[in-house]
Amino acid sequence: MATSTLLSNPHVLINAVNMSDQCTAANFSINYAQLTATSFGDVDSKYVKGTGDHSLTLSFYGSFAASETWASLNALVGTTFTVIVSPEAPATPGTYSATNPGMTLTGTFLAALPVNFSLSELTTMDIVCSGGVYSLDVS
Amino acid sequence: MYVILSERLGTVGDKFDPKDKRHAGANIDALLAGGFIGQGSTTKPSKSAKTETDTDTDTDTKD
Repeated sequence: MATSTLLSNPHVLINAVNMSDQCTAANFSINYAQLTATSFGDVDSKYVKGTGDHSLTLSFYGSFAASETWASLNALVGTTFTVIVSPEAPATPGTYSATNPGMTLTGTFLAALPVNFSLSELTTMDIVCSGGVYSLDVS
Repeated sequence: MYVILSERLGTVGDKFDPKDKRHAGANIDALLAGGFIGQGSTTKPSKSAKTETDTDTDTDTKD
Protein backbone atom coordinates (compact mmCIF):
# COMPACT_ATOMS: atom_id res chain seq x y z
CA MET A 1 0.00 0.00 0.00
CA ALA A 2 1.37 3.36 -0.96
CA THR A 3 2.18 5.48 2.05
CA SER A 4 3.38 8.62 0.30
CA THR A 5 2.59 10.69 -2.74
CA LEU A 6 5.36 11.10 -5.27
CA LEU A 7 5.04 13.91 -7.76
CA SER A 8 6.67 13.25 -11.09
CA ASN A 9 8.99 16.14 -11.84
CA PRO A 10 11.53 14.88 -14.35
CA HIS A 11 14.33 16.89 -15.89
CA VAL A 12 14.60 17.00 -19.68
CA LEU A 13 17.74 17.99 -21.57
CA ILE A 14 17.24 18.00 -25.32
CA ASN A 15 20.39 18.73 -27.27
CA ALA A 16 21.92 19.98 -23.98
CA VAL A 17 19.10 22.55 -23.61
CA ASN A 18 17.03 22.37 -20.43
CA MET A 19 13.41 22.27 -21.59
CA SER A 20 11.90 20.96 -18.34
CA ASP A 21 9.74 24.03 -17.74
CA GLN A 22 7.98 23.57 -21.09
CA CYS A 23 7.68 19.78 -20.92
CA THR A 24 4.50 18.10 -19.67
CA ALA A 25 5.12 14.44 -20.47
CA ALA A 26 8.04 12.16 -21.21
CA ASN A 27 7.66 8.53 -22.21
CA PHE A 28 11.01 6.75 -22.43
CA SER A 29 10.71 3.38 -24.11
CA ILE A 30 13.64 0.94 -24.02
CA ASN A 31 13.01 -1.80 -26.56
CA TYR A 32 15.00 -4.69 -27.96
CA ALA A 33 14.08 -7.03 -30.76
CA GLN A 34 12.96 -10.40 -29.45
CA LEU A 35 14.74 -13.07 -31.47
CA THR A 36 13.48 -16.61 -31.37
CA ALA A 37 16.09 -19.09 -30.18
CA THR A 38 13.81 -22.09 -29.83
CA SER A 39 15.19 -25.23 -31.38
CA PHE A 40 14.15 -28.83 -31.93
CA GLY A 41 13.82 -30.64 -28.68
CA ASP A 42 12.66 -27.52 -26.80
CA VAL A 43 9.24 -27.70 -25.25
CA ASP A 44 9.12 -23.99 -24.40
CA SER A 45 9.86 -20.89 -26.41
CA LYS A 46 13.22 -19.24 -25.88
CA TYR A 47 14.35 -15.79 -26.92
CA VAL A 48 17.54 -13.75 -27.10
CA LYS A 49 18.04 -10.03 -27.24
CA GLY A 50 18.35 -8.47 -30.69
CA THR A 51 18.85 -4.94 -31.91
CA GLY A 52 17.82 -2.09 -29.67
CA ASP A 53 15.11 0.21 -31.01
CA HIS A 54 14.50 2.85 -28.38
CA SER A 55 12.34 5.92 -28.44
CA LEU A 56 11.34 8.89 -26.35
CA THR A 57 8.06 10.73 -26.70
CA LEU A 58 7.99 14.26 -25.31
CA SER A 59 5.15 16.75 -25.01
CA PHE A 60 5.89 20.46 -24.79
CA TYR A 61 3.96 23.68 -24.55
CA GLY A 62 4.46 25.37 -27.87
CA SER A 63 6.12 28.66 -27.07
CA PHE A 64 7.49 30.57 -30.06
CA ALA A 65 9.43 33.07 -27.93
CA ALA A 66 13.22 33.30 -28.10
CA SER A 67 15.06 30.38 -26.46
CA GLU A 68 11.80 28.49 -25.99
CA THR A 69 10.27 25.37 -27.52
CA TRP A 70 10.16 26.31 -31.17
CA ALA A 71 13.69 27.73 -31.14
CA SER A 72 14.94 24.57 -29.49
CA LEU A 73 13.14 21.97 -31.60
CA ASN A 74 12.77 23.47 -35.06
CA ALA A 75 16.45 23.26 -35.93
CA LEU A 76 16.60 19.64 -34.76
CA VAL A 77 14.12 18.25 -37.27
CA GLY A 78 15.89 15.81 -39.58
CA THR A 79 19.00 15.68 -37.43
CA THR A 80 20.50 13.55 -34.67
CA PHE A 81 21.31 14.76 -31.18
CA THR A 82 21.44 13.65 -27.55
CA VAL A 83 18.53 13.71 -25.14
CA ILE A 84 18.65 13.00 -21.39
CA VAL A 85 15.73 12.45 -19.04
CA SER A 86 16.24 12.06 -15.30
CA PRO A 87 13.69 11.62 -12.49
CA GLU A 88 14.62 15.02 -11.11
CA ALA A 89 17.06 17.83 -11.81
CA PRO A 90 20.62 16.86 -10.87
CA ALA A 91 22.07 18.88 -8.00
CA THR A 92 25.13 19.57 -10.14
CA PRO A 93 24.40 19.94 -13.86
CA GLY A 94 25.55 16.86 -15.74
CA THR A 95 26.03 14.76 -12.60
CA TYR A 96 23.64 11.88 -12.12
CA SER A 97 23.42 9.07 -9.57
CA ALA A 98 21.95 5.63 -9.02
CA THR A 99 18.87 7.18 -7.46
CA ASN A 100 18.64 9.91 -10.10
CA PRO A 101 19.94 8.30 -13.28
CA GLY A 102 20.24 10.12 -16.56
CA MET A 103 18.41 8.04 -19.14
CA THR A 104 20.26 8.94 -22.31
CA LEU A 105 19.67 8.48 -26.01
CA THR A 106 22.77 9.44 -27.98
CA GLY A 107 22.34 10.06 -31.69
CA THR A 108 18.55 9.91 -31.59
CA PHE A 109 16.65 11.15 -34.65
CA LEU A 110 13.79 13.66 -34.86
CA ALA A 111 11.72 13.11 -37.98
CA ALA A 112 8.88 15.59 -37.47
CA LEU A 113 7.72 18.52 -35.37
CA PRO A 114 3.93 18.53 -35.21
CA VAL A 115 2.44 21.70 -33.76
CA ASN A 116 -1.04 21.45 -32.25
CA PHE A 117 -3.22 24.57 -32.40
CA SER A 118 -6.62 24.23 -30.71
CA LEU A 119 -9.30 26.74 -29.76
CA SER A 120 -9.02 27.85 -26.12
CA GLU A 121 -6.03 25.65 -25.46
CA LEU A 122 -2.33 26.29 -25.17
CA THR A 123 -0.34 25.36 -28.25
CA THR A 124 1.55 22.10 -27.83
CA MET A 125 4.31 20.28 -29.66
CA ASP A 126 4.61 16.50 -29.33
CA ILE A 127 7.76 14.90 -30.64
CA VAL A 128 9.14 11.39 -30.95
CA CYS A 129 12.90 10.87 -30.70
CA SER A 130 13.61 7.62 -32.48
CA GLY A 131 16.60 5.33 -32.27
CA GLY A 132 19.99 6.16 -30.88
CA VAL A 133 22.23 4.43 -28.39
CA TYR A 134 20.65 3.96 -24.99
CA SER A 135 22.75 4.36 -21.85
CA LEU A 136 22.11 4.98 -18.17
CA ASP A 137 24.28 7.71 -16.68
CA VAL A 138 24.80 7.20 -12.92
CA SER A 139 27.93 9.30 -12.40
CA MET B 1 34.90 29.12 -29.66
CA TYR B 2 31.25 29.38 -28.72
CA VAL B 3 29.59 31.44 -25.99
CA ILE B 4 26.41 30.51 -24.13
CA LEU B 5 23.57 32.93 -24.89
CA SER B 6 20.70 31.25 -23.05
CA GLU B 7 20.23 30.23 -19.41
CA ARG B 8 18.68 27.00 -20.65
CA LEU B 9 22.16 25.88 -21.64
CA GLY B 10 24.17 27.25 -18.72
CA THR B 11 25.48 30.54 -17.45
CA VAL B 12 25.10 33.26 -20.07
CA GLY B 13 28.51 34.49 -21.21
CA ASP B 14 30.35 31.32 -20.27
CA LYS B 15 32.33 29.43 -22.86
CA PHE B 16 30.39 26.57 -24.48
CA ASP B 17 32.60 23.50 -24.59
CA PRO B 18 31.21 20.73 -26.82
CA LYS B 19 33.57 18.29 -25.05
CA ASP B 20 32.03 19.02 -21.67
CA LYS B 21 29.99 16.09 -20.38
CA ARG B 22 26.92 18.31 -20.03
CA HIS B 23 27.11 19.23 -23.70
CA ALA B 24 28.34 15.95 -25.14
CA GLY B 25 26.68 14.97 -28.40
CA ALA B 26 25.11 18.38 -28.87
CA ASN B 27 24.09 19.42 -32.35
CA ILE B 28 26.08 22.67 -32.66
CA ASP B 29 24.31 23.85 -35.82
CA ALA B 30 20.93 23.56 -34.11
CA LEU B 31 22.14 25.44 -31.05
CA LEU B 32 23.47 28.23 -33.27
CA ALA B 33 20.25 28.36 -35.30
CA GLY B 34 18.14 28.50 -32.15
CA GLY B 35 20.20 31.31 -30.68
CA PHE B 36 21.35 29.30 -27.68
CA ILE B 37 25.04 29.81 -28.44
CA GLY B 38 26.98 32.30 -30.52
CA GLN B 39 30.40 32.61 -32.02
CA GLY B 40 32.82 34.07 -29.49
CA SER B 41 35.42 36.62 -30.56
CA THR B 42 38.91 35.15 -30.97
CA THR B 43 40.65 38.47 -31.66
CA LYS B 44 41.99 40.84 -29.03
CA PRO B 45 40.37 44.26 -28.89
CA SER B 46 42.48 46.83 -30.73
CA LYS B 47 44.25 49.52 -28.78
CA SER B 48 42.91 53.02 -29.02
CA ALA B 49 44.95 55.54 -31.01
CA LYS B 50 47.45 57.67 -29.12
CA THR B 51 46.58 61.34 -29.25
CA GLU B 52 48.40 64.30 -27.78
CA THR B 53 46.41 66.78 -25.82
CA ASP B 54 47.70 70.34 -25.85
CA THR B 55 47.06 71.70 -22.35
CA ASP B 56 49.85 74.30 -22.27
CA THR B 57 48.32 77.40 -23.83
CA ASP B 58 50.59 80.11 -22.36
CA THR B 59 54.06 78.98 -23.43
CA ASP B 60 53.14 77.09 -26.51
CA THR B 61 54.86 78.55 -29.54
CA LYS B 62 53.38 76.16 -32.02
CA ASP B 63 49.88 77.55 -31.79
